[in-house]
Amino acid sequence: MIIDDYIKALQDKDYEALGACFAEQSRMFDYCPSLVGKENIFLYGNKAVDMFFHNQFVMGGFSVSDPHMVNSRTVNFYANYAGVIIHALAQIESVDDDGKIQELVVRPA
Amino acid sequence: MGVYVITGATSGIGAKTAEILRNRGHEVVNIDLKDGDISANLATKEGRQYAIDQLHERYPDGIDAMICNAGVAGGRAPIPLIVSLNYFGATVMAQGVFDLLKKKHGSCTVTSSNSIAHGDARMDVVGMLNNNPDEERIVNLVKDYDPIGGHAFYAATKYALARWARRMSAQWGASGVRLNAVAPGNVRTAMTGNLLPEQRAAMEAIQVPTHYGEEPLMDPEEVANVIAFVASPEASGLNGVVLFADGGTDALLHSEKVY
Repeated sequence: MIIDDYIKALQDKDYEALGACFAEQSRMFDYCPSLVGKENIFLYGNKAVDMFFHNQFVMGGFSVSDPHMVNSRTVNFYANYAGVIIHALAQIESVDDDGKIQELVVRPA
Repeated sequence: MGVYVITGATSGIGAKTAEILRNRGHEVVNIDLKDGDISANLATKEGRQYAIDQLHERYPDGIDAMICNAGVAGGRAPIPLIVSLNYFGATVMAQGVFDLLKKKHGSCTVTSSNSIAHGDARMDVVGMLNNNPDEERIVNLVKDYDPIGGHAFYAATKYALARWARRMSAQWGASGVRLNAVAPGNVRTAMTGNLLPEQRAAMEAIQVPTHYGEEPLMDPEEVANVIAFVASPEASGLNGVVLFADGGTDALLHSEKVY
């Protein structure tokens, strides 16, 4: 399932694999960073996901731990934003015909 | 054709900008530490004053553009050099030729950096540079910091430089002199060729969308063309702008930030 690939890529800090989870025309929103005084994340397209998380994994101090699958579209985990941890819930809102994520939203759990 | 003065044009973005301007038929004056048309150390008060005096002597009727491009990256350079060259080497030079620019309704363009948007600038230093620009005191304050942490100071000088341009642009624009900043992304220059391995890895993590899957560094010409345009009369509508010439890095990292 694509959600497994998604969470594995996050845990492995594999930005290329993470980008590959998303469709070319896709959206990924993360509303957790504002809780710790940072900009929320709004990405449009698989290459943007790849490039953005390349930056975040290497420089931004972002990591994910202890994922718990809620269902085939939802996973909750601890998201570490440069040392501040937020319990987050990631939900795949839609996928395309190839099973790639078209829209994924991360919110505080 | 005009007289275009540019600092730090012996290599890198500056050299390419000078080449573009010369190819367009302009007279270009390079102010640099070595191999300049005017050789001066812009990290010192004496060097700046010498360069300003030379320009007044050579061009009493004015100049068409001042491009303050000289700078040094963080990482190996002493922090005082970063502060003195990047900030004071630009703002003092610009102010020193303001009268020459007014005579020709010219423009001033400063080279900032897209690192100003990455949130790693020492904002306390930015505040000092913009609000209490006492070079001697600031240099004395930062002189003992380890150069390994120089990027935060580099970003601070570039942030302060962009904000200085924004602050001054209304008054300068109303006086007939446009004042803008160009904020390049990661460009292949002598500066980037001299980075420590961890700095290189960090730099490559700042992705350039227009170079996706290719050479991660921009060509100096990609930025030089933008600077040449901003400095030219064709950009008469631009004033007080911080123009990111970074292949879309800033938009990638801050897609919702419009203004």
